[in-house]
Amino acid sequence: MRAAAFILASTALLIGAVPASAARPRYALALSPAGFAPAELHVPAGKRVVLRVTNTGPAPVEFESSDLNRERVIPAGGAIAVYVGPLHPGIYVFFDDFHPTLRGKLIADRAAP
Amino acid sequence: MTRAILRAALLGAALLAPLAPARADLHVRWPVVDYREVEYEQNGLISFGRAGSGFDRAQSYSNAIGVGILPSWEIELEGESQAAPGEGLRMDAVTMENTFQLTEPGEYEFNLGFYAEYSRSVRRDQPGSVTFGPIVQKELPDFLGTDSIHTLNLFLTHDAGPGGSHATGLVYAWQSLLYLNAFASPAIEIYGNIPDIAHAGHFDEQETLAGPVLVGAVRMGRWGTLKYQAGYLVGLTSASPRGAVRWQLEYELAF
Repeated sequence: MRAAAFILASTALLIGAVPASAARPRYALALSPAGFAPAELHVPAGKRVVLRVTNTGPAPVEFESSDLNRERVIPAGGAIAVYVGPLHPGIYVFFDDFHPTLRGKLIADRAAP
Repeated sequence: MTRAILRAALLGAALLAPLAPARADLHVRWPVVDYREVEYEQNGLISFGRAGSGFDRAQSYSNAIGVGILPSWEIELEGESQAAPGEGLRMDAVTMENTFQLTEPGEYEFNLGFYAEYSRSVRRDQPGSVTFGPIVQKELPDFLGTDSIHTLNLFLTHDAGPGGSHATGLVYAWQSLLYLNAFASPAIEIYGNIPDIAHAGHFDEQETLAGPVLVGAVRMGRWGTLKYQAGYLVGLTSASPRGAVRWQLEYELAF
């Protein structure tokens, strides 16, 4: 039982000791049956950023990106935060897994705001 | 006197350890729940060892159906079957597995999850077991020039039901994955099993395996996603098989 207590206490400490995400640049992304808006989103390379993805359509969608290793269902009318980065400069494709033809690009570049 | 009995028991356990069957549950669990997805998962493990040992061509398989019923909770029902060397495959246990996602990936320095399972043996003379513990993951965006994901499973296990041992075991697993692309990324994995942490004994008496694994996925749009892992693990101690082939096939479909 000591080992169990040790592991549980270590996990609790790990959760408690790690600070919540500091102020990160936030970027809005909307997903509707027409597609992502904007379809191309520029973010700064080398920084952690937060994407706030809103589903403005009438049905659930799934924001997914193999490049970013992120996958998340968004109910109709709902919104989620997707935490990514720091990213190398480059293009990262994302899509709606429930409607795979709806795709967009996250472009990480040095000059982005 | 008590020490002598204890030593004899430990020696007996060490001698019996090589007879332990292969375990198909050798895979590293991630602290991520696939919400609103149903999945079928098969794990296989074939171990190799000295001719006549309990490891030589022992087989172990698990087949599971899982559902992400909440954004932070995924439940799986798994059937496990095993075949000792030279024997036929037989059903061994039915297991209910639960994965809890505690943090959003990338939100904190570590991605955290919790795993808990109850396994019920289908054989009347065997006790069931409970296994639980934390899943800790670290994403390193620029490791050896590429993105990498490092995951640790640290699970305690205990027999449940009449006839079970009072010992608490520790099962640990580590995976370091270098993300090259979605189809194939290399990883290194380590698996360890300490049947009784109060009497862990020497490292050489513990089952420990390590080796390279290839991890990938094929996305088929509305037809779902096929994920796969395959690798060869090498036994690092005398209580381990000489080697083992392990694989995992997983088909996911969103609903």
